[in-house]
Amino acid sequence: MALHTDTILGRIRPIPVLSLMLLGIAPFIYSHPFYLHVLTLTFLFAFVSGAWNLISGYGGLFSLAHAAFFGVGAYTTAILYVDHGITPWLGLFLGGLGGIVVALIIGFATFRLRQFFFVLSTLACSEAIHALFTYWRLQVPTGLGTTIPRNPGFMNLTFGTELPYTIITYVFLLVIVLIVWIINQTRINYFLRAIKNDEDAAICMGVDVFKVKLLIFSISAFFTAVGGGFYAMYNLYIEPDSIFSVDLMIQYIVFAIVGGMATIAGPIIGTVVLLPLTVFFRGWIGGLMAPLGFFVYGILLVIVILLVPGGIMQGIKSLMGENRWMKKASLCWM
Amino acid sequence: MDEKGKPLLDVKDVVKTFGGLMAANHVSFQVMKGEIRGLIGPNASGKTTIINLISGMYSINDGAIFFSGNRIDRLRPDVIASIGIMRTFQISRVFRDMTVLENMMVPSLSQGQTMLKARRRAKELLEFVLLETLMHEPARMLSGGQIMLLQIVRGFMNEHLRLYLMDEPFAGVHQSIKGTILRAISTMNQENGVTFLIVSHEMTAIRNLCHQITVLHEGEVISQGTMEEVASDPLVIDSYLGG
Amino acid sequence: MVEVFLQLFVSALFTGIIYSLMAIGLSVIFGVVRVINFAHGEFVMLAMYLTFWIFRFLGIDPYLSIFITMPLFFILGIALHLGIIKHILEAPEEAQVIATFGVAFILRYGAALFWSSKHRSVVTPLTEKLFYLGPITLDSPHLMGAFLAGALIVGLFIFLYYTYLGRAIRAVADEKMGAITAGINVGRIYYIAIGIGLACVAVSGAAMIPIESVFPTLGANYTLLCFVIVVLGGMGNLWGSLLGGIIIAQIEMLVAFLFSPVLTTFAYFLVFLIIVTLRPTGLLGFRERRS
Repeated sequence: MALHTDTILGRIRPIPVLSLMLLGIAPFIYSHPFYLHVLTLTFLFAFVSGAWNLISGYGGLFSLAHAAFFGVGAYTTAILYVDHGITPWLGLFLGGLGGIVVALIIGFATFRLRQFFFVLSTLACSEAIHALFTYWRLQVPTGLGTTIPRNPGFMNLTFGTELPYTIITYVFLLVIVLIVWIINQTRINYFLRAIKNDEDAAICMGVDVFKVKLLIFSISAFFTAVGGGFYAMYNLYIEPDSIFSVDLMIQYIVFAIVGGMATIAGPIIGTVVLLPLTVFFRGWIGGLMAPLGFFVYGILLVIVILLVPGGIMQGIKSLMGENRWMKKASLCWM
Repeated sequence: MDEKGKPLLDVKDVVKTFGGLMAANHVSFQVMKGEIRGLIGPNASGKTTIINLISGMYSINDGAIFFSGNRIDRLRPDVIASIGIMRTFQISRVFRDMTVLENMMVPSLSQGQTMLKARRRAKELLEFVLLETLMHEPARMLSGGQIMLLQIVRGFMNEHLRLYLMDEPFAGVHQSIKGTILRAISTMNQENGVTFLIVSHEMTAIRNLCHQITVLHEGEVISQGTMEEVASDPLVIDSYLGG
Repeated sequence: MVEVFLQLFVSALFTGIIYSLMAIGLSVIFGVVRVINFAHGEFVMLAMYLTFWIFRFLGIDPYLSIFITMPLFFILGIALHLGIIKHILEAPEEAQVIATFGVAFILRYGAALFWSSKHRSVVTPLTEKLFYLGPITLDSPHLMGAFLAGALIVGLFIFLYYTYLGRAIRAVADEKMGAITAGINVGRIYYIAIGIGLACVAVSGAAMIPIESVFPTLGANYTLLCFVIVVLGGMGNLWGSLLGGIIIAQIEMLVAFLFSPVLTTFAYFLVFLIIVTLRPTGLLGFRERRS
């Protein structure tokens, strides 16, 4: 059975690549700022959702800490820029490092214990970091909210028009897709799947489970924080309640789950399908009915996890047929 | 590292308790390099507990375990694997959603072997046990006996393998696969000098395979020796073989 | 200064007993059914809302309406098991988390949709009464709430240790396989355990509503609180949950008093980290860590 696994080129699937190219062209089809705004948000959240998917989907460790990573990235970037004039590009990177620090704390504390401890610690962490920053910003003279001055310029990660933001987030999305794809070509793929299948057997087969989890969690945290930093520069205003919001995190988690966890395409599909709906919904129904959106998310979560745990991707897989899928799946886990 | 005369595995006065239950009660025994040792005893005598203690899955409450003179009882299971101790599980644990070939590659990859060499060695070993036709099947598609065989031969992928702990390798396994397993153990022992510690209820296999046998009962070692010596030991007859 | 501290200490002690009851509800369910329920706090929130609405429309005092809410929540527990929990019993932990998180969302935003985000509280002539114990002033919500919660905890312990059904529940929690061989109908025990857990939630909600007003997102705080208490006390250990609740209430009080009420969730995380690093089995727990 020639499966063309022996060349890197042979492992690149045409449909995903074409879809990504199509998404890349999307910003140039239509130039209405609102359209580009929705596109920017879609790319950004597909990016963050993909980062979340790395630890929670591929790693099998359901993380609720990403609100903390997102917020830490946002504040690092914002404060370094506003108070110290450091270019947000560097701020994004440093924010990413901040995310890694938080991830390491959680990892060292909980990776050797049952999974339940990890999940709980991530929830507690998000709330804790939220509390910490709220406390801090209450002491500061500028108050709870932080406004970022609008000085357009590439080094300030600030632009007069919408298009540059869209392009940047698209590049982010490409980066996370590439990272996940590369990871799947390495032995880490084997380790992750072994851990997911049977962690005890994996460790007895010599897999350094602790190190693998730390690595994946750190990468996930880094890119989520970068996403947060970008969000801060995009919004030009952040405050603890909104940036550390668990509700915001749940949104991109739902995107990944509905789209299909442990797949590269899942988070993207989930975001592309759900995010524009959310935006239109919010604009249409308005503030009073905002809870309705989350109410629906709750129902979606329960239905998906009970009926179609693999999300939309599982639906696509079953259309393609099990056997053809297994051969593809064991290659690049798409 | 281990001179002649010094044991490869030295279990010294090991105690393990779970709540109020003493699963291992001052268990001591030694296994010499190149031996095939049988570990037998009635159910709940502590055999699996000993395997779990040596492989690092459980931590001991008292005593010590030495491998090649080095203390290993505080090491993590993956570190223990890297120094050459592999194990199988009584209820086979393979990676069910990975293919047979991928299952095989995990131990090699975790030791830093390249994908190419790992794949090659895996194919060789699979041919050796006649599983190579199922190479690309997901492990969950295999029969019970094949899964046990996969589990066993996966351990052989460890290129530093010196001690192999097997927990009931023949349980529920078809006769022909049993023969393959016996052949694999003999070959690895005679040609590669791998030492084995085998837990089993299958007396015929134990008799044919094992040089020495250690008998456990209620967490204690009650007898040790060759099959003949152990079979005629009144303590053993009372608790396990006869009465 | 000492008097202020003493006042806060006693107040937190009473609140702690109510927290303990909340956590015990979680512990019973988790200990028996072994499912991570991330919607636990939302059920407390629901109980508080229910008690409020019964008070609003039927005029029944919260400490009396438990005779309505307890059976109702017991039945709700059975429905929850039938509808959701039964289907995720064997599922991987992520699935349990996601499913119960979904339930939490449905309850939280359902509450926001139907009842708006207004804060609701219960004020009766009884709740206005004050008691004096030396330098300490106690209001009846704290006193009555703690008394109610304490009574239920005592009742629960008597039930678990002195009745056949209670012992059966403990048997299933300790060793499911053994319980099955002893002839215990594990399936039925699951229903009963979940029902009991939610009944505890109902009472804790009733005890809580005169003290704290309820709003849709309150549940999230309680979920985290209960899990931290259960980890602190020891997983599946009811005495541990009792102790944990009291300790956590004190920690909460200290942090709010010495620093800021905002930092209480940060304190929860610190407590969690410390316990998990130093003594993962919890203060009173004794379960083996590895599988």
